[in-house]
Amino acid sequence: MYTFGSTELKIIMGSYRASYASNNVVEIPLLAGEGPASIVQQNGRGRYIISFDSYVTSLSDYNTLRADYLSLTAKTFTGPETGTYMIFDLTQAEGVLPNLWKFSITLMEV
Amino acid sequence: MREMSENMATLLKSKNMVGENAPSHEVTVEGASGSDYWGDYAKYTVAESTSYSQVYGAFVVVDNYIYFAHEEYIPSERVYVSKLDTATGSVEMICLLSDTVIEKGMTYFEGHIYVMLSGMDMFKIDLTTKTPTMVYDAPTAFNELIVYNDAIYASRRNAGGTADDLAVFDVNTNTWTNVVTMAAGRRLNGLAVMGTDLFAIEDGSTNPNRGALLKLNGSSFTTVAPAYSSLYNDLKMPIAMGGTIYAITYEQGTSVDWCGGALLKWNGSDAWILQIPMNTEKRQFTNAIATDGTYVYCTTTRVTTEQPNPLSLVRAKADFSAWEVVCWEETGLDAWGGMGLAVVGNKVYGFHAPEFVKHVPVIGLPVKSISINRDKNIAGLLNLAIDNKDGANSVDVSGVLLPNVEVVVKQGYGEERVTTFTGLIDRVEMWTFPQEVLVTCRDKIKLALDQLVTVVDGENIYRVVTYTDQTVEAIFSDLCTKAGLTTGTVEETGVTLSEKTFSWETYGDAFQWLADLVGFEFTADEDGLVHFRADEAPTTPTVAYVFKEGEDIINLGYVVDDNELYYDIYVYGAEVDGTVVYGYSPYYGRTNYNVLEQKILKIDAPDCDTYLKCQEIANRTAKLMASRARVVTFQAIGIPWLQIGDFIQVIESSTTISEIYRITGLQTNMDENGYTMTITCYYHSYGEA
Repeated sequence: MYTFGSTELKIIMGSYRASYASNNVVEIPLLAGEGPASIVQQNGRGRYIISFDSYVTSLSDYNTLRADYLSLTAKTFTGPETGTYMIFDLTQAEGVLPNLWKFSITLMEV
Repeated sequence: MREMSENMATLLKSKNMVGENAPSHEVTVEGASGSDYWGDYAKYTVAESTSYSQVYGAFVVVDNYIYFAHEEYIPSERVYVSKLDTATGSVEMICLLSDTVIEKGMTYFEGHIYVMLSGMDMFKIDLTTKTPTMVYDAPTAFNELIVYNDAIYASRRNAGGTADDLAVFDVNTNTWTNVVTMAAGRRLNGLAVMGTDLFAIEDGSTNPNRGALLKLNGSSFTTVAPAYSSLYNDLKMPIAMGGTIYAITYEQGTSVDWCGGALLKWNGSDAWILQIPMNTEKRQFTNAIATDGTYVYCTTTRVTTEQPNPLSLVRAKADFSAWEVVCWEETGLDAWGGMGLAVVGNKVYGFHAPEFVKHVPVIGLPVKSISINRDKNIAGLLNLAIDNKDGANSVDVSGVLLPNVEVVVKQGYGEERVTTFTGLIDRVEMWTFPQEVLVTCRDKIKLALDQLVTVVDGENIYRVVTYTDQTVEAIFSDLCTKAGLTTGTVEETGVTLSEKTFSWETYGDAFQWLADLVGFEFTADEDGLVHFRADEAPTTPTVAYVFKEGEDIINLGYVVDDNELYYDIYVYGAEVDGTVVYGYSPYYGRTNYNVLEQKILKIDAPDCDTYLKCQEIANRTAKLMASRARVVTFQAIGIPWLQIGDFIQVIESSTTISEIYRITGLQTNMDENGYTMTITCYYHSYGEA
């Protein structure tokens, strides 16, 4: 069971994109000499993000997620990868069936 | 020049500072008590005594001053009382007491400091007149003095040496009177005052009550908590904090089996409560405990037969769940001191032999960019940008980021970092777009530039200061102490001034006057130490780093200019009677740079009344020109180890330069675009390729 805080999330098959972060590498050009004329430096890493398509079975569950999204509340995400995340992006819920609300969500490491 | 490791030198040429070798930094400011990080500790030594001096654990804190006792070993084991001004860090000797050793007993009462010596003499020191008076010649030993119920109390050994009585001192008649007379075998191991009650911990080798907490009840003690267990029976150093009494202990046993100490507390119930059990780190608690209202601090030694035995500072975590090490002192501090701890403001002072140590709590700052600008002869500048997205840091830092708070920056690659800036905050700005906090700092020279030369003598404050028959370096060092600066290298000048008065001048002006007089320069280095030394370049310099195109030079500009070059320099002055005197120096690079023969620099210096002074100015001007003829400015990758005055070799083919240059300016920038620096340097000599 996947959860964000206490809200249960159903993952739409094949949509889970595992945690990823940018490596924050910059390339600084040098005066030309032998070999590659640049220096590669890294400024730490970016924050991990996880994204997937999901659905909930009641609009109030979606509203809980939306409140967390708007207030940038960090909660524990339990799933293939577990950690403390906040909702970085949340799409509008699409009422596919009377009790199936579908949306896309992106979680960001805090 | 600062040594850099071989690995680092290789890394800097590798062009590949990523992963665990990525540029790294650590920016800290002095924080409130209970901050999560601790900076390097600072040491104070007692300057007054000429020989080795040992600082004892006997001290008392009055306002912002710590009064403490220290002993001079050689030649006569005399005891002094000195005071540390915690605001400026200066130490002043108050008085000389006696030729005997001091005990723990020291307290402040009604404008006087009372001191108990182990020779069983009790002195009181008048803090206004700084005079000691012997007030009691005790027949028996006393333990610590404590102020309770508007009087001085102490536990003292009885005449037969069989027990410790509780006695009170009458300051009018200078007599001790027993309050509680204890039965034989019962001893007292520390006193504490909480609210309106006096507490004592009982001790004594044959006493079954050993380790119990006693409360004074009129003319007798009531046991409020029996001993916790026989393992914890050597309980000592009780302190009161927020309605609770804390005490430390260590397990009795053979010396190799001593365990780390435990913390017990009593909060009004009928028993001691074990707060933190003995740990297995084998660190023994020494005779020091202090509290800042949130934490309980202790000193510990490592249990080892090796000497010197290092001393560490530990504190009980804020929730009192465990001990955590604040400061490891693996070397350099002997364990046989460590007798006392004091908390003043947000700092913890530890009394070690032969000096005492200040531990400063610091807060790490989440910075976005660090830019440092250091130039010869002016105060170094630091600009920090701190991310403040959604106000994430404004609350945390607003109470801390204030003018004149110390900021320390360390930079480097991976785990290897070196201090690149120590200074004081000038200005703090907060912006909403982008949401960030900008902090501007100057290095420690700020203290010299912003403050007037001041002498405080008791209640009198003077802004006019006269030095008589002192060397220039002695005056410089004394001014540094007055300004709150710590000196690094102070070279001998060989010049003694018969009289010099500084009147309503800044320390910076005074330093400049002294430096000009002897041809020295004063600078604050990356660690915040102030140096006073001759501005001389060695003829065979050691090259700190070789920059090469294609390896670490981003771009380079090279300027040869005769704008500020002259063929000859003449300096004209006048003797007291009006006779004209002059000094002359040729510019040594005049042939090389093809300077026109009739391009002469004439300097009028009416204050110069001797030929020698004019000559000195001419020589210095000629030397200074060397730094203006061929100037190279280039951008390179950041190398935090480089300092102003270092010699570097620069090899670049389009300008055909490959010589040795001396650094006069350094600007570094560390942000999301990488870590780079701009170096300004002047030609020094031909280099060896």
